Amino acid sequence: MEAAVVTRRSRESSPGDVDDTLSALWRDVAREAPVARALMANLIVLREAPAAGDLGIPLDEVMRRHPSRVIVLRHALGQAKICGPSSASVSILTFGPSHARYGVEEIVVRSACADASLPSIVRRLTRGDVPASLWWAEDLSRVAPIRALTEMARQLVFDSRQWRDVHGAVRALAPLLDDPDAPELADVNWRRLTSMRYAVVHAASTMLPGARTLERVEVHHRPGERALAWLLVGWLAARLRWPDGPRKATIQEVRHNDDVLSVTCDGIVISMNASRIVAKSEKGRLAFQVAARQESVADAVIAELSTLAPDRCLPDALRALAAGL
Amino acid sequence: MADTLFERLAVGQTPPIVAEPVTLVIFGGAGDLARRKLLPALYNLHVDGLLPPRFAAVGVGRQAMTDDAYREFAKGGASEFSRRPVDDAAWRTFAESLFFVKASIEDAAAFAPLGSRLDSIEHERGAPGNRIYYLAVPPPMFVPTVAQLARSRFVPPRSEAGRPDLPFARLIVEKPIGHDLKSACSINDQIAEVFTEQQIYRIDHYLGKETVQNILVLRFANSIFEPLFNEKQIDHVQITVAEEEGVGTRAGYYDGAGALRDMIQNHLLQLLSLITMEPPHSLNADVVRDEKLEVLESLRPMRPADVDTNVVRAQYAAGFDLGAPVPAYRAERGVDPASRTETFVALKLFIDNWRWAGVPFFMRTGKRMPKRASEITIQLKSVPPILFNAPPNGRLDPNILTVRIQPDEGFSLGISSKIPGPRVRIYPVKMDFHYGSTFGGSSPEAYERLLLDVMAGDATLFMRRDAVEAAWRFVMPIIDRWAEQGAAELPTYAAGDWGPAEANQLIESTGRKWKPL
Repeated sequence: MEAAVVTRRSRESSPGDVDDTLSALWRDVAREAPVARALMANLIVLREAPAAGDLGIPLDEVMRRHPSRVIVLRHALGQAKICGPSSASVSILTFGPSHARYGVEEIVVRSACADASLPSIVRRLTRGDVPASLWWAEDLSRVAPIRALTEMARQLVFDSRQWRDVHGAVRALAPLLDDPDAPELADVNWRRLTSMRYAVVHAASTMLPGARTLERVEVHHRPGERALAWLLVGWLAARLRWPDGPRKATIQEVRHNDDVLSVTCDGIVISMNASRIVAKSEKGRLAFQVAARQESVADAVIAELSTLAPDRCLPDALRALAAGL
Repeated sequence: MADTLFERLAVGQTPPIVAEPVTLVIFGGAGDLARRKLLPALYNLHVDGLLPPRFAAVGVGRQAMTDDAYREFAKGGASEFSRRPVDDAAWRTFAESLFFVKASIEDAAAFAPLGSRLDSIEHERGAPGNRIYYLAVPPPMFVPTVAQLARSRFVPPRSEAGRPDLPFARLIVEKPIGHDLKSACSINDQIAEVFTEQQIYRIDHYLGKETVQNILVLRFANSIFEPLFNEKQIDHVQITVAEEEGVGTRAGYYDGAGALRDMIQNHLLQLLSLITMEPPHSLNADVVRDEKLEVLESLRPMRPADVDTNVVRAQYAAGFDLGAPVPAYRAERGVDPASRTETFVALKLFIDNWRWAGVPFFMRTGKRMPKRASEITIQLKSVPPILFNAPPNGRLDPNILTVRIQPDEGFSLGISSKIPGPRVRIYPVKMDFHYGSTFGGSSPEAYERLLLDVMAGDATLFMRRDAVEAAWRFVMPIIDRWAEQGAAELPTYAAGDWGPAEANQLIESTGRKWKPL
């Protein structure tokens, strides 16, 4: 059985003394029982301040399974003052059985400074010998990526399920798409399309072997899955180089439907629910089905954090959406 | 330039590990291996979205069972043995790919209905007829099953094997392949009449474990270790595979086999070849397997006198398992009360090649040992007895690289470090890497990886015929010598102990010690 958090030891610190406070905390934790310090990366989590105490993301689980130095930035947006963080606290979370106990460190800083101040804060807190990922815990359509932060990360992790305005979020991401210094994009929600995309490719190969493109594409989605529907359309538009872009497809929200998403095109229907993707012919005959990958948000974030080979189809899909919306 | 719809959509897609639809036919589909390992592994592959479209698994067994009953049987196995809990929605989808057919291997007539059922399942699912036949049956049934497959025309002629325009047929065989060199060759010969070597996947589940696969990465993806792996730097190597269980329900097989055949001939020699092989020039399956074979062929053959001095066998007597009394091997159910089968083997061997000349390798394996633990220990030579290692009664611990295969997969490096303070005092410390704490979550089970590899046609982690036979060639002098010794009494060790005193003498006579586990 997987181990839960065993302990969380926390201590208030001043922003300038974070490393000293952490060292003292490590000594305290090690005094209780042997503990190994686990560190694979830096994980910077951005959350707007003020916000509710709970981050609303499965951070402990991610820390357990992808041990990183976690730096939570509770950042007040839109400030003009060049200054340091107002407060900091540090924690060590320990996991695992007694013979293989390991600890992971978390630093929470509160800041109300201009964006220009952020790099020096983050640079002080990150470990330079391991890569840094930035987890954007906010809706990108509401809080656009801060360039000063994205430039410091190898990867920008986000969840497009949070997007209340798909077009706005795509616009916010657009500057990163063709910037060679921009981080790789990792959308937790996009991973849900992986099996669906395989199914579409497999259907193209086996059900539409002579076709060159898809006509009359209709996408239906459950409430709350609008971003997923647009991402699928963006991918089709990018791959099939639709002259009129993603608007060639029609997207409709359908209430009271088990399917998360379905795409109807050229006599085939491919639908995805929580557990499977089913491809049917126009007459409703089952052609094939494949499993929908079962991943929690934590699973997906961990998978993205630990991959060094980003999915190139995501920026292509976003680029098509940015150009066509 | 991509032209068809398929080609255009496939641009940039990470290709699935297995793209071709396939039907897995499990002979022994209602057996213990299927329930404990194969079906849970398939379920996990399904949940991870790694099974190909139109996949089907068809269990074949002697007892009649409906598809629904088989699905319940499989669900029971997955609920008990899967590394993740069974999710009802995911299970429903997976269960639709499970089928069961009653057929007796001895009954040629039974294969006709099996064939029609397979055809019908594949037709309904639009599958092209790629098949994998898994022999999850007792070893005596390997050859008869393969013969029936050939007689019933389940397998295309050897001349058509590997043709990309035809559906493929592959065969998975579980160990043990034979009980000696002669029988192994005979089984291999008879299977080879039906399947080409490229179609045969001989499973050694140890090779599917993450840490075992990581041995090659550790050695050949890190510049720090490989320069040390030779007779100039390494003092000796230990490989231990300890089991805490007794013979359990396997007495019928085990009492005729023993630890040498059950563990040394396959698992331990495979581990040895991975830890000592030369760098392959590519990761192509045959290139890697060629290098492993080189190791097995470089093992110094044992003469009868070498067997007497370099091999220890023993049998467990009554003892304790975690404080509870447990019976002697001979008192176990299904074991001959006069059995002379060894439940423990320790041996010293040498690899006569340029890299490893003169380095002793110690291997031990046994049942009813204090704990379940599999480890490879690579002990480096000591630093010269000057400076910090000068005091004759305060010698430093040598550096030890330990690869832990189970449990708690990972590796560690023992190094000497100064204790903080005004005096120079040195203490051995350990740099420890745990898969669990570094990568978190649960690693895929060995069978998941191995089944996926067979579907993808990657034979790297499977034993090739020449390697199986080379391993048998190495152990045969031991088997023959023991046979000559007839009724000589075996040493014993108390259940719950690390083996007999003779095993300690084997290593201690060289000035070394077994690493405590």
